[in-house]
Amino acid sequence: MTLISIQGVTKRFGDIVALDDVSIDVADNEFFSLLGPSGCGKTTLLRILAGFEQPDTGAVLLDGKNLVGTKPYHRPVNMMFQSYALFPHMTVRKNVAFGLEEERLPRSEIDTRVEEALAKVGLESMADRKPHQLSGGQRQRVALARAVVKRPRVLLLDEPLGALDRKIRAEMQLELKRLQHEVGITFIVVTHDQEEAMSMADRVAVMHHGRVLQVASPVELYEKPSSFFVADFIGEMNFLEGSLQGDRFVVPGVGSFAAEGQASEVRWLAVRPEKLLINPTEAANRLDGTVVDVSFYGALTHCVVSVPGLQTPLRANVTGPLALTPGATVTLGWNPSDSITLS
Amino acid sequence: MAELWRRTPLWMAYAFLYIPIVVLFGMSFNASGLPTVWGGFTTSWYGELFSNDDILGGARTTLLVAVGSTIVATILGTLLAVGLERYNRSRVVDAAVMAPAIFPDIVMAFSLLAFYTLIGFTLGRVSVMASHVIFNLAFVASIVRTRLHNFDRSVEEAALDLGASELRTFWRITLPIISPGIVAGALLAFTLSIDEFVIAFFTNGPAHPTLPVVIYSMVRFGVTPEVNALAVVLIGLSFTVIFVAQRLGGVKELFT
Amino acid sequence: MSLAGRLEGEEAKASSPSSRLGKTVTLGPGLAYLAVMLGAPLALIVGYSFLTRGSFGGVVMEPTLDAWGKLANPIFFDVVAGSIKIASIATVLALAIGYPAAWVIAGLPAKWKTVALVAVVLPFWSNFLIRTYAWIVLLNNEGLINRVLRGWGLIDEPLGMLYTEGAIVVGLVYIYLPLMILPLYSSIERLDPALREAAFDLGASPRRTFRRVLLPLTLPGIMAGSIFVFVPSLGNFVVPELLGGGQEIMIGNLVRDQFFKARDLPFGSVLALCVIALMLVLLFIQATVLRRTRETHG
Repeated sequence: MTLISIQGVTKRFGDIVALDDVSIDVADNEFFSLLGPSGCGKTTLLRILAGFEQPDTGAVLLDGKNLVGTKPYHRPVNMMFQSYALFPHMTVRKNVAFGLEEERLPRSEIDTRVEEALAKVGLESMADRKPHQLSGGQRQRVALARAVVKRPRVLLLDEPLGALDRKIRAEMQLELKRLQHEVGITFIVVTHDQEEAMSMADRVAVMHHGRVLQVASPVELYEKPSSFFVADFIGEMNFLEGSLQGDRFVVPGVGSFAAEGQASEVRWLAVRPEKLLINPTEAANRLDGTVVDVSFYGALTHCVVSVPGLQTPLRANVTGPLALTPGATVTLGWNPSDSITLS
Repeated sequence: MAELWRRTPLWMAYAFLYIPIVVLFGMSFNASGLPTVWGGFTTSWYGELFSNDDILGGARTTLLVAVGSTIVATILGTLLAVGLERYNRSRVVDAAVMAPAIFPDIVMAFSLLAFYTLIGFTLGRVSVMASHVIFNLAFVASIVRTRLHNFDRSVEEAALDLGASELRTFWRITLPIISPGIVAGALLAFTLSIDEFVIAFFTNGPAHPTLPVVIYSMVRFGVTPEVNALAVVLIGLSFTVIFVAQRLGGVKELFT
Repeated sequence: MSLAGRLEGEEAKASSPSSRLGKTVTLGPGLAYLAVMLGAPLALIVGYSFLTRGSFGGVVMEPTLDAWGKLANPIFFDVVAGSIKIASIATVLALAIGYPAAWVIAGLPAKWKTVALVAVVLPFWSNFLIRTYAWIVLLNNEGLINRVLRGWGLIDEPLGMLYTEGAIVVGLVYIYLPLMILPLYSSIERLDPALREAAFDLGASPRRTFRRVLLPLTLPGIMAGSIFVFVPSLGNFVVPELLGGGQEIMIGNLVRDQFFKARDLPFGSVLALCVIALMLVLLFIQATVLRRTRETHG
């Protein structure tokens, strides 16, 4: 069931178009992600949802009611800021209680809910400390508790994992997913890190230059990217440039390959590295090349192969070690069902 | 050892700055009252201060003027700081607010006196107070502004997001966070007002002279022992206030 | 921050109704106060400078250039020229003392820097009358310096140090030295230490490195400090009076006397405006130099 409907939102800053006719629907209780490189407009969209920016055109409907024009403090939407934005002069407890105090709730209810929220993020023992006495991860949990305690319809998270170390990041990813399920609130997470988006979200909207390119589940984004940018941005991809003639994709100077898909004005043939088979016994499409590099990563081996006529070498990933050395000739193969045609 | 040698220029500068003060300090305890003769240690000159009506009157007046101008300047200056940092885009307005701080005091003094005479404003404690506010608000604004500049605005947005209106956000979040700057600015304004001479001299009028004006009339005719003691007291007071203001932060940024 | 994010900051100052209200509430009172208490008096003296002196003081509403003409009078002209000369000497002296001191402070370990700076600034925040007075104590014939020198047998007669131009210069330097050191320190602190090493590496001696690299880069600090010393020195009347013997040696004394003795408001206004004019000229020079420095040095 759709909770939030962003309809035709456009936002300009001077000459720059930050958002260009953006429309997205987010379902109730969904873990949703806005993914894209810097400057793609995702943060602007988030701030419009929170109420810190107003769109030039378009509507933002929450439960059918347009939020545009409503002040941030009147929206059932709360945000976890990238810098956490904890109030430095207040203790953890007071920080978390702040929003409830503004709602003018009775003291007893505030105290109960604050304790509850602190317990949910595991910070009961830190309640009387001030922000400067906490670690980065702890501060983030305070920021989360502070937003979640208000039981908003939607929680917005701005690059929640950016400031954390690698190891803590992995832990926090699980934490966030667990928390979202526990409190049953819709999460909208803004990130530039596709691994984060893919691992946490139910659905992801990929944005670029202010436009939404594709909204889909992580699996669908990975296996069926709808544009060159999405295919390139998500995971690793091999691209062959050419044109579609009949049911074959022709790469001038290299060869022609059986291909599925009917994208109009096809220009690219894309194949995931793990779908490129090395010296296969059976494969409809084949290419010969020379091994340039073999790198062993434990579970996977990355193999880089240079093919005459292709500008960029192709990458093939296989599980386990590979008995090939640079300079060896090799045949790469793939099945048409494993390739994607893109315009 | 080479360190100390290389630092000679600094020691010399400090010597230049502080030897006169040390001399005053020493002389204020000199019973003979003459710089050339040491007459024994005494604190009687300090005692004399308390029986000197002119000095006491001057101190009272100066205190009144300083407190009054500080209060007004702090309120106006803090508001200005918020306005300049958050709302203003005009460089002219920016410069206009900062101008009184570097304006030559003789020009301000002269024009203010001409102005007060023209509009018939009685010269007295209020006229001095009103005059002091002019440059005090520039200093307060500058110090508070530095605090605001280094202020993470996302904290305010977080407050708005959590349900506080703009006014409540200012009251519960912004103001407490910048309050050390406000206090530092107020202390600075207070000290400036207490020490200020030129503008006070011009706009004081005949009755109720401020302390610096009293000192001036005493000093014009040469060295007097009570002035030494007074000097030490005033210097001690200024040092203390500035030290406290420095602790609260913000004064250094004013000049660097 | 993304470009959009940066632009958002600018837009945050845009004119929405709430920010217009904010603008009025915060800037309104202060600016109104300045307009009345600073703007109006200044406008007044500009006006006065073109009016005629009334016979009992005050002004008569008859426009004239007499007041400005008085500047050409050699007596007054000498005073103005003399003031500029004294203020300049004081500035150069302050620079000579202040630059090395600032340099040393910039080289101190971090925890001593603040202490050192506060120690420099502290004297400035005490009454300058008193600090001037301290020099009377030191310089006069029965004063400390003479007593010490005579005590060591270096001189027989007391040096007539007080009531000289030199005394005025010393007094001015004494009062305004902190104002020279702070901006100098600020400029020096910002220097990239690698620049000095790069210059050495390329074959420049310490002196040439200083002249060709470090000095130009600290120019902003030098200009700021110089203005902070020159302008107030120009308008100061206490130091010339107490240390200079009460004769009308500098502009400040002249201005004071135009009001209280000669009751010549128009001419007093002219003199005051001269001080402002000099200040504006210096600020203009400073802005130009800074702009050019910023272009080349980035």
